[in-house]
Amino acid sequence: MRNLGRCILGVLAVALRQPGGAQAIPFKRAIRCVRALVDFNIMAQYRSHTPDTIAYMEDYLDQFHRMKDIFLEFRVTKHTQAKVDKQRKEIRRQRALIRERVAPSQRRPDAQRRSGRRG
Amino acid sequence: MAVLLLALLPVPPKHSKSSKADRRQRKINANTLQDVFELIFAPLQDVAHVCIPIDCADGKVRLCFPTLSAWIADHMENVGLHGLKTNACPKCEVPTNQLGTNARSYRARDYARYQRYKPENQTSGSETDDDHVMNLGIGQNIFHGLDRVSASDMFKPDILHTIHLGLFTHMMDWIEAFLKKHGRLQAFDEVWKALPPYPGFLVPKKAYREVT
Repeated sequence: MRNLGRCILGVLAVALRQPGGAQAIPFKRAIRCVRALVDFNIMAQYRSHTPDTIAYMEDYLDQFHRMKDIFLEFRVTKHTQAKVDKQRKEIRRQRALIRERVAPSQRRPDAQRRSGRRG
Repeated sequence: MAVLLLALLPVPPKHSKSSKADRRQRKINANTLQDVFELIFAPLQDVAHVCIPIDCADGKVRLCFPTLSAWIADHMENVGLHGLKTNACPKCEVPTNQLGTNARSYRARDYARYQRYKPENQTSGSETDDDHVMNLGIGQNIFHGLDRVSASDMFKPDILHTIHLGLFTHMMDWIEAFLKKHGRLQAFDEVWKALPPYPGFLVPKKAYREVT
């Protein structure tokens, strides 16, 4: 992994050269995202830090978070989580809609009937 | 850097079931770990208030107050030592769904507050909102209670666990999937194998995918 940090950016840049029409933007974003992580790794190896180097590292981290969406579909857990959150939100919205539509006077007899059946 | 082996920690088998017996066994394991660390830290506690003379690098002898300031471990070891759930941050109270985001505004963990809170919660037996914030596990924080030691500052990220084994491993998985989607995996492997030598750089002989 130590070797990887030294060469991954160059290898990736060569592998992603000459992009097709629709590939240009994803390739650019992927390289930027990897560059931010590699830069962060290189700076993290400094033996001592100044406020400037810390600011650089925070910049790289921010850049990674801005660009990481390009890899979202490959981050299985995050992708699933986002999907689940969306579905939950939709279910909650539907439930609220149903509750609004059913008037309180209509709900009460139902509840009584249900409790009666249980008893 | 000098490394001195102090003790070998007991590592019990994992209990995946959540039966009553397993929970009891996990509690016993956590208490055993706590006792072992109390033994290890006992000499450190003694000298936290009474200074001791230590040989300095410049040849002089100085009066020192040795205190514990860092504990380097991987995440699973850290949550075990801090008495947290596996999806919790040992440093701050960031909620689980915010992990991996750029959120930095959560307060540091206050283990003294957790200890005051825990016995009350255990008697009631119900989970509150605070439980989700704290994400507490079965054991206690082994660093809490040590003099002059801030338990939430014990966690220190290190290059090996955080970057090489954590960040880069994930990054390579994403890159591989990304290259596969765009049909550039072959080109990537060819460039990887054709890397020229350089002082301090070990030339890879196989493609990245062939190395496990």
